[in-house]
Amino acid sequence: MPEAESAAQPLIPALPPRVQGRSHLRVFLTALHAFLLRELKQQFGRSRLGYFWAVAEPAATVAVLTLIHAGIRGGEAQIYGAHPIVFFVFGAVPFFTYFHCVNRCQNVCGSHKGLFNYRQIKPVDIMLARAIIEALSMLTVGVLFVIGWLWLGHDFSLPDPLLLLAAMLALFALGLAVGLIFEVFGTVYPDLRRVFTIAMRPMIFISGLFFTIEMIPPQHRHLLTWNPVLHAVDFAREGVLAGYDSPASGSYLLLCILGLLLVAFSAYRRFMYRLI
Amino acid sequence: MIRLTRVTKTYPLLGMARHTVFRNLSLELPSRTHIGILGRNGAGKSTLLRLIGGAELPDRGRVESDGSISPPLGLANGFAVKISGRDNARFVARICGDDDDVAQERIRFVREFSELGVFFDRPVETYSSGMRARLAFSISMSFDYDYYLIDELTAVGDKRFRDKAERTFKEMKGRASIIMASHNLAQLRRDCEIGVYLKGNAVHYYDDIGAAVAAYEHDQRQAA
Repeated sequence: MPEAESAAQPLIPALPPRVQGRSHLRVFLTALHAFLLRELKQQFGRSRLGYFWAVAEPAATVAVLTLIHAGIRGGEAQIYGAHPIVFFVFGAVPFFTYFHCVNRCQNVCGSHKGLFNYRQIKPVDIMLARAIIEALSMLTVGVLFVIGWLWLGHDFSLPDPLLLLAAMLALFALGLAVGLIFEVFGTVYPDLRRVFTIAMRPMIFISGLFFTIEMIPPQHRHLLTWNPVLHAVDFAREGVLAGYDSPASGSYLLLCILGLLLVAFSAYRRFMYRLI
Repeated sequence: MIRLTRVTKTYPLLGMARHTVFRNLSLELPSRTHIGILGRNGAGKSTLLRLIGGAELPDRGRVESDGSISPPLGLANGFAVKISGRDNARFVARICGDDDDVAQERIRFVREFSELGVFFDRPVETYSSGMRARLAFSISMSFDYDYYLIDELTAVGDKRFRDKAERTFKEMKGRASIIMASHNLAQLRRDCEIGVYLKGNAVHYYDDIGAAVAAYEHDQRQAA
């Protein structure tokens, strides 16, 4: 008899009470933490291939660039007193930090509709968690490279590690801001997604992945230096290459980051209920 | 009780046009009684639940309640499909603020209540829709709310699960309130006392679910 059974033993035992009255910040931080763990598990948990691709993509880019460079200038030619591989790695790692942060923020709103039924979850939690994971995995790639490079018996010196870290942080902030802007406006006006995709396409060629600002001919420099990503990548190079003194502008970079973040979060706040 | 005061909710269509789901809707839902919401597809059942659950804001008007309300649970439940049911349950426990020990206890309950067996530790993408519903329902029941919002969830499970849901609802009577939207009229009549019938832009409140179901069936027969 189902009724007798349910009377003898309740279906729902006394369970621990729900946590109530948390502050806004606390709710946000627990959601962010939960998403960090969940995204890590989604990305790396099931197949070890997740780790492989995190390293393989920048490595393959560096390999191609190094081969082209060796083909044009010869295998032993140095760039700013550094081995070309070092030069390209510390263009690829910063650039892909930005690039992946933007890409991982895309399509977050559409693919998590069911989750937004939980009031404590908002799209920005997911995007922030993903951007943090991307930035940290690119940082890990950089560290792995340095370890491997030293292990192979090469010399490596880091003249300005703080500048490199600051540049990486700037690229993370830029990637998050641009990714948020693309995702908010792309969700509200789906046609814009195509525009954003096209706009992102030349970024790999104009953001200093394989050149420094100094290498750009002076008469064209004023065109490319509008791009804040170029400035940040250039700062990362200056942090690594002892022989390079970057003409990049820190105040312009900071202004761009703050301006983009302002646009991103205002648009996000304005369209919040269209996103979820 | 949950009180909706002059709630208007519209959705944007192409251009400047808007689709109005509710206009000046005022409704009072009592606490500690089970409430069934019926209406045709697109009548606004899910929108009503999302408004009550706070997942959606009304354009105008207010939604107030005297107790805690669960998130509206439906078939689109936002599970991460590549990770296991256990990890999804742990995720929900985390975002609700549980520390690790409490989360463990809750997960133990979810595993037993959902009766998923070995599948509890397999990726959610291997689940059937009934199993996903069982997991979602169990996670929802592992938290103490005053109002539980259930959107079509118990309709997809097998008989054993539906019986279990029925017994759970019976046990909850007098303690908490279940607000469920469903097309399963027999189930609504069995589990609920109060009926809310969404008909076009109008909302009819019935003290007796039987009357609500009868009115709905009457309208359907007229249309046919």
